[in-house]
Amino acid sequence: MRYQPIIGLEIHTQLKTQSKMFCSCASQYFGKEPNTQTCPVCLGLPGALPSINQMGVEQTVRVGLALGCTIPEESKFDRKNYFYPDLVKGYQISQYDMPLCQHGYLDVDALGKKKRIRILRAHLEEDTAKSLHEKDPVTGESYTLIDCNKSGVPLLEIVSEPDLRTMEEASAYARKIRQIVRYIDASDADMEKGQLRFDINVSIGIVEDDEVLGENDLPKQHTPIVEVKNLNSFRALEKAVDFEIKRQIEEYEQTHELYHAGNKTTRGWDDVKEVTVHQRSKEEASEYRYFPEPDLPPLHLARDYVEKLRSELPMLPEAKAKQLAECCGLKLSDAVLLVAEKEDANWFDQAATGQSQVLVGEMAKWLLGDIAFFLKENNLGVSQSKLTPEHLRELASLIQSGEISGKIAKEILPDVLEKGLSPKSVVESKGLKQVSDVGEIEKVIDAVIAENAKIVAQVQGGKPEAVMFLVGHVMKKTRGQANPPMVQEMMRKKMGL
Amino acid sequence: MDFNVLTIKGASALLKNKQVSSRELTQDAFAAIEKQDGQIHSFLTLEKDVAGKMAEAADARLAAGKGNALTGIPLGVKDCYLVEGFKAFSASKILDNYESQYEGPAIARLRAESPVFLGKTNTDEFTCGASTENSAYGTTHNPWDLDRVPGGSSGGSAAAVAAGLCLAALGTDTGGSIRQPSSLCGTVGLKNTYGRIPRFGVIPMASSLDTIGAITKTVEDMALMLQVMAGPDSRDATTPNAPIPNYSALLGKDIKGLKVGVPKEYFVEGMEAGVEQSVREGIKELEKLGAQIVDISLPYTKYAIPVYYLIVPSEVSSNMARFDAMRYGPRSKDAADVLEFYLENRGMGFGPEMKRRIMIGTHALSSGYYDAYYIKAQKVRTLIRQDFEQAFKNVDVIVTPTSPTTAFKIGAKNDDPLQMYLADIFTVSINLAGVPALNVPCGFSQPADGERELPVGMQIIGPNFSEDRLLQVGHAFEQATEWHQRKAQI
Repeated sequence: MRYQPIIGLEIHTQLKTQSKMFCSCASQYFGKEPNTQTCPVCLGLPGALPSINQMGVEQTVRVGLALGCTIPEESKFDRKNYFYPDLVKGYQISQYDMPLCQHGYLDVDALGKKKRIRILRAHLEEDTAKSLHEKDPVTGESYTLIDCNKSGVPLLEIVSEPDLRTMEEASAYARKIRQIVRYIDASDADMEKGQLRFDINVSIGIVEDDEVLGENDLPKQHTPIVEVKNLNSFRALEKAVDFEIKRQIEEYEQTHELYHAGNKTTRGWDDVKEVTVHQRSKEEASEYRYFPEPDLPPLHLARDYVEKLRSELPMLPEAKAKQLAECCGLKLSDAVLLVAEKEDANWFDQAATGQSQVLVGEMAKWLLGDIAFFLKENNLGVSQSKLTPEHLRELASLIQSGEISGKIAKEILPDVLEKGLSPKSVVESKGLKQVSDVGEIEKVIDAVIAENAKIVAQVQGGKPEAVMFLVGHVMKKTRGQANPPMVQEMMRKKMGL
Repeated sequence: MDFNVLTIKGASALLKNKQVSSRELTQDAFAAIEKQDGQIHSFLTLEKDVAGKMAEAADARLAAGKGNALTGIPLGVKDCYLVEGFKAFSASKILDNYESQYEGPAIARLRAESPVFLGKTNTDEFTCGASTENSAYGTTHNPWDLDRVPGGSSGGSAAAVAAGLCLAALGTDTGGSIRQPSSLCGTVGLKNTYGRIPRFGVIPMASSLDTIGAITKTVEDMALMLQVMAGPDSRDATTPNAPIPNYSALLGKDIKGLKVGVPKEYFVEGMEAGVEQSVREGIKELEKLGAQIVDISLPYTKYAIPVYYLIVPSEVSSNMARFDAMRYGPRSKDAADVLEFYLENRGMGFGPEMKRRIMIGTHALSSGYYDAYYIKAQKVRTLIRQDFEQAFKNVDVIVTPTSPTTAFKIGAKNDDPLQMYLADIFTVSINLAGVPALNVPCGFSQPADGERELPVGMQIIGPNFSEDRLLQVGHAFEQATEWHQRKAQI
């Protein structure tokens, strides 16, 4: 017998639209005064009716297409009925049995293995208002305020099949979803603004020794499913999955309780203690009394409309990396890093378009090396930094043409990155241009030979490796500006090596 | 000029000829209300100050020669409509003292004509009922017999128009709430095609059935009201972009050769004899006017009441969920937790019929029952709609009684909700089908338990967006008869 974690993910991401899903209030609410971006519709006032924001539907379909989903011709909205102070209408407009996106997939890389994660569905709904739990500083009385700015913001819920088996897969899947929705500009998925949230469903498969399982097969038996709600960061997601796997194995070893209809439970995540906390046991079928939203007509998605959206989708990161690797002779793993964020990918496109493979390779090397290090230190994407595509190209050209050495390149980099100066101008102003003039180098070589007769004798007396000592002296004398390969070659010649 | 018998058309002519001012008409309206509404209780709130200002604005507009058909006309507004600055309780305690924060297209379109809104008229709580007895603010009395109900839910509007307290009033019709009180009060009432007038800004009962409309004294006036209110609006996704005809264009055109279907299912045992007689005579009158009478069948009608009373409570249970006292409405302050808060406030705020519908609907939508109740009801609803579609392949309009009885006594059906539900037996199928239907007065009948003759209404039903045709038929009938000219004597 062995334990096999079974994990499914529900990812909520706020869609990028000008206005809210069912009214014309602005959907960008971050940092706005509470309850200033509201109207009768998103406040749930008596007599207000929803009307569909076409952009929300469009963004949903675009995500669906990017995730390989089927977009049905007919879809509809349903009401999900429950009472909560942040749910102004007493129901959430969502989608129940006819979601806009059905049966997609996402290939993820985790622990060096590629795996296809099936996506069950993605449906469009409205976000709730925000509860602000407060405490009166004088009386100590606690109370809750409601901010309706978030009420009605379009929210996409992407539901995976329970195909994930490890924390690493879950994390890779979630990160890739975020990358894709950002890539196609369907969502900013800014976790600090709460635009991306995860719910995880975890149970532990009890796999018998003679049980043969395919990649996405479920073990015959597993522990009760636990849903952990409202994880707001990748870190929380990873920690919560890890915690639940350990907790459930321990629990199973004590209770030997297996899943059956009705023993699903919901837990919350304590970000400080890094533990999950029991919230409620719930019946198999939640009593949300779903029924078709009578205030909205069904959605009809014309095929040519869907195909138009498909044709207009930007190239996804995977394809983009492949293209970059092929056209520019880069390693695929490097290309993947270069295109991880769409803005950075576009930035690199600008730098690389029309350039030679060698030059692009040089640019990639620097971008993924010293520049990446600098950007990480400063928590910036390359597209947000002061480095321009032109400057990167200039830098690579200077190195390729031998005008500066790698060492000099490193030396000028801070000025280029921090001040946005052109590499050429920094080289010139600091007098760092690499010396490739044979005559000039020869003068220095001769001087070094004259000053180091002892070593010259050693070299000529059967210790050729000592020539590097002389080369080093030449470099020192030229403050690193002499072209190193040239110095080496000329020195060896002089020494008759 | 006697204010009580003025029509919109008549008043409009007087206003244009400067024989009367809107200010005078408005004063007359409030005088009539003061004199009679103590007994009728058709208005819940009166807005004298606002009405005075509206009248002034109307007079200024008329003086500038820019008056329209409804300029300066005093109107009553059913309490479920939101009118900026007006109270709107939808006759429920849960919205006690609630003031409208905005108004929707129906009111805005009227407002653009510069009419005068006198105040809000009584209704059953959230328009759930057929007598106004479910109002949390007292029952409205029928002006023809004060011991009797005016029908409902737009009973306040129908009684106010019938008593001559306003020239016309706004109503809503979810299962008969414009037509049935019009029938019981002897007024003209038009249930429009679903989606003809935007619902945005009107507190709903059941979203898939609710329609917006008016109650008037004549068919001509109805055409004027509809002309202003009809048409799609982006804030109501259920308003199709159907052409808006000139609703007065067919008025006065004869109805020779018109095929009138008479469904046998709408003449049932147990209906008041005088009602059946009046409606049959009305049909004969149409025949005299040149119409061709065709016997038809609408076999699924018998399922209309059970289907209606599954779909309505389902939608009601969800539509009422926002009334949780969190953001508006009166609230109790001593609830210990959120659940208790909901239970206390909703328990106090909703009346018995609302609780009944919320409970039935909650049950019908529950998992395990949803398919058997809600889904099944929706399927039968489709069959009922097809009944009408089929019928309209052979006939132009269908004529039936609007209500099986004349006005019943206040309290007579209070203990038996099922009896109350049957008051809408001839009207609910029309809402399920979505088609329009017009009530016109077609006679009088003396009920077995009464001494007075009470109005009887005839329902003229047409295919989707055939309001102009219904008005044509109604007008032809009205011109040939005198029923609409009789006035209630209090």
